[in-house]
Amino acid sequence: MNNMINFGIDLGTTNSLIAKFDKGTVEVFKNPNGFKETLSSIVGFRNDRILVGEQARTYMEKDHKSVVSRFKRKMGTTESFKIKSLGQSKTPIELSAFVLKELKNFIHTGESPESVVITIPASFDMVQSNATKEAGYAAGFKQVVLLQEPIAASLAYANKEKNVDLKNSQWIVYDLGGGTFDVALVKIVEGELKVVDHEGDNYLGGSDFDALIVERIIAPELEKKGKFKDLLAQMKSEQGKYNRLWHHLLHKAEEAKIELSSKTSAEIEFSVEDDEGNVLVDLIITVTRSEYEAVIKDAIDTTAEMLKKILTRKSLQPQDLKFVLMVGGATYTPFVRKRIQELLGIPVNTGIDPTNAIAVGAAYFAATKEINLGDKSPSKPAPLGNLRIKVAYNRASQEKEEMFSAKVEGDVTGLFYRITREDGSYDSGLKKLSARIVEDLPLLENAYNHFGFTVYDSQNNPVLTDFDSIQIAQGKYSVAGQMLPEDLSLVKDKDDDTTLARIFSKNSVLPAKTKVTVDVSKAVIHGSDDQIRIIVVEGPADNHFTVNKTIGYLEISGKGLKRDIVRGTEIDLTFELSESRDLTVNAFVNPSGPEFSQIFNPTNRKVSVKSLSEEVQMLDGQLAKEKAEAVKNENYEVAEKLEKLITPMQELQGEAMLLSLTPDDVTDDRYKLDDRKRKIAQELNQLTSGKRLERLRTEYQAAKVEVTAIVNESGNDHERRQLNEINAQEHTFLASTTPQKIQTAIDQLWHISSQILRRTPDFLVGWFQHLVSKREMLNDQLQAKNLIEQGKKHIADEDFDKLLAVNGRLHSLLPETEKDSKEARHFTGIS
Amino acid sequence: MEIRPPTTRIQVPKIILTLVNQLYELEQKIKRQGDTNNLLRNVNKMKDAFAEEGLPVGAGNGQLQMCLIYEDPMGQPFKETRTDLEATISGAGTDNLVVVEVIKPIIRSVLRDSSGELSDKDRAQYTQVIQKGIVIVETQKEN
Repeated sequence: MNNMINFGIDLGTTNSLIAKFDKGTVEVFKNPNGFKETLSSIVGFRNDRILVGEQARTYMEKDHKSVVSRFKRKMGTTESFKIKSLGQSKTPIELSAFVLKELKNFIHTGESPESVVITIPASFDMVQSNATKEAGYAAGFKQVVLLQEPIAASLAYANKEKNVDLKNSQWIVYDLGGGTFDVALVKIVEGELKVVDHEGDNYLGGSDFDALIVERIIAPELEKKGKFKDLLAQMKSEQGKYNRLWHHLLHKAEEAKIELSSKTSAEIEFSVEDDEGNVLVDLIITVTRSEYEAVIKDAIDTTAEMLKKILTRKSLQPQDLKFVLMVGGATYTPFVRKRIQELLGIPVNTGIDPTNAIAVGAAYFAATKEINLGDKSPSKPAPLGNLRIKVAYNRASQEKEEMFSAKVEGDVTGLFYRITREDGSYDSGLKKLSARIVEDLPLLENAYNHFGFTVYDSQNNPVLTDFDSIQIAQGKYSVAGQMLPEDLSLVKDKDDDTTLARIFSKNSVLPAKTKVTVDVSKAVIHGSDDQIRIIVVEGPADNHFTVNKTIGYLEISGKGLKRDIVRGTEIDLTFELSESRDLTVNAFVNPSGPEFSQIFNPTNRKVSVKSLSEEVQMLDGQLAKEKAEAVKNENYEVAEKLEKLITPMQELQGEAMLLSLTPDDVTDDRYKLDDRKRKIAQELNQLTSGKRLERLRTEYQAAKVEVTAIVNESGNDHERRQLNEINAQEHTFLASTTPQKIQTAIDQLWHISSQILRRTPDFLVGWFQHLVSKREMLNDQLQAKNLIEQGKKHIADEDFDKLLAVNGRLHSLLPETEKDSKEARHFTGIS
Repeated sequence: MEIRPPTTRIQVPKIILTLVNQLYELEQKIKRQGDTNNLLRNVNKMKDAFAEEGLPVGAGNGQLQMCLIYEDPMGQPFKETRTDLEATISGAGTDNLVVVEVIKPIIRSVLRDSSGELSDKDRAQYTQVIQKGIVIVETQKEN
């Protein structure tokens, strides 16, 4: 049984981390809120909340009376920080405890460790060390083991490079973090790692480098490009005209700094208005690595001086040292490494991750320390069974914020609560639990909003209650929202028929909006009668469109065009459905640019007389074909039923013909005819769907046999998987009564086979020969001749990749009618 | 319906985040400099591709999609309880803060079931902030 501590914490001046040793490796836990491993060691007290980390950091500079940072430096002193908003003081121990408690929240494994290793700087004396232990206890740990930071870093290194022999050697740990610098001489004395000497500067770190980039590189450049008076002063002053720009540029400088670690120059892009009102739009200032190195050189040289001091004090020569181990984010800068190596002549070691090395080392150390709770026997967090929480809030809301209130029964003294939104957008911070609590919760629009509600004791251990989550549906999830009763689909051409593409599915909650891009499958000459039809129908998307109810119809006619629309042009369609089910269709034709728009509503159905009569014709043709087929197959029962449809069909046809003579007919005849057409179509579909299904099932089986053989012979893993997936789903689509589903599976099968065939030499050669046989009809004879020559050569060379390319180009030379074996019918003109 | 968040945090490849951030910058630039070449249409298409088509996640039948949406928090109020923003306060005040500059937008991921068989209501959607917005906030000036 594992009885080791395993948990290590780097309680840093600027940033803190927590890591755990588990089965030989160390995991550094991430902040559940954001993705960082680090937690800013900053605590803030605002509006009765306790904020730790990033949230507190925001207010650090501006509200230093309520937000405290860098308290680690005051550990072990009697100094305390007056917190204005609390009207009381907090000691560095209490503040550190807040950071430690917050780190507990990073542990996603559900563990609540009682023993932990916490790191301290080499410079900490007994009093400071004890104060750190106190902070650990205040945070609820029962056992706190301390470890010096340079040793932690060395352990991280030693565990990573297990083959390196460090016996009888000494080295330097050079720790340049975000805001502090520490350097220590580490030695193995009688088999134990020991810090022999150390130096440091509490006000030197990477954030100073960002400021230097802005001050010395960007600002002078900016002054050349615009008219600015006292630019730097105006940037740095809180009241200054360019204070906003200062903060903006600090961020950009930090990004540039990171980029300069791997590149020789970085660009900073921003916009600014100068004193004379000239707007410098998207100004680009380039920072080169050498410029950056020049501005930080002095600072790095200072750190080298401190390092040298240690050597002098210990009467050591650089060659006595094995290496300088680099720790801290600022050591990512190549110049820091280079300069130190240059000034001291000691090899620089960058074998560990500078940001988390100390926490990692602490966890390795923790893995060797046994849990020893002594008298402080484990006391599990008391399940406060007496805490009853009664909540009141709206489960569904149209607002951006919703009030949550709760009544708490039971003893609330010393307890806190915290509410967090599970998507990581909201955190109430720790707040004192009282008999009645009220909180405004911000809601993400059109989504389920989940909040976690947790009660904590004073040591940040969760306390069991009878309530733990808040769920609020915002916007379209509102139960009051109207639902769409049927699918809405767009009619598209497919092979020699049409297919339906679902735009909105049944039960979508209104309002809804979506975008579809379609390809034009036939050319529309401007000024001509050609047209593209955007038809929206209501009803199951698996149906044939004539069965469904047409609710929207938009024509793009050649007459309304200034330019031709060529085949293959994309049309962007936007469909918007309002709560009252008004459908707005917007069509944007690219690249000629005209826009077409129309609003439809369910009470005012659009039926185009012209389209109606074409649909009736189409249906008539289909009916005749089906009947003939049924007779041929001796399926007399179906044939007889189809026969009965012929009379109403003929009547319908006659009336539609009459109506088409007056396309501006104002009566509701067209709607009546449309309804009759749909009824006939429905019956026809019903009578013939069994046959279609049967045919498709047979077709599927045949395709499956053929494609399986191809896959077995030449398919790769991916294709085998694809085939298996289709096989696995076979029982569902074969049993289905919608032909569309089987058709989709067949299409998928052929797709797999064409993937394979395209790399199969025999197929490629065969395809090439087929194309050669059509050489007379190819559009560009000269090019065709060249391509055929090339193709022959590729076959001789067995260069099949190139043959594939040649085939593709030859194919494109075929006349339009030859390209697709089936002549496509263009009913809508989109596909 | 009960929607359970995934047990592990979604990892988005850095290149995808870079692309989304660049897209945002492109959109901002077009807004500043005018859209003489009708570029916004292409930007919107790319945005839609991220927001609606998304990336397949997880093994198996590939029915889960991760879509990415970015949000421009410009002009939104900022409070200490907002954790989708990394804010720097400019000026002296710390109350009534609003976002006055956006350095990076908020990027959210939405997990969707793409089977198309489900209605929006039943479709499991789980949203997560995958990139905090980096912004500068300032006390809103009284009118």
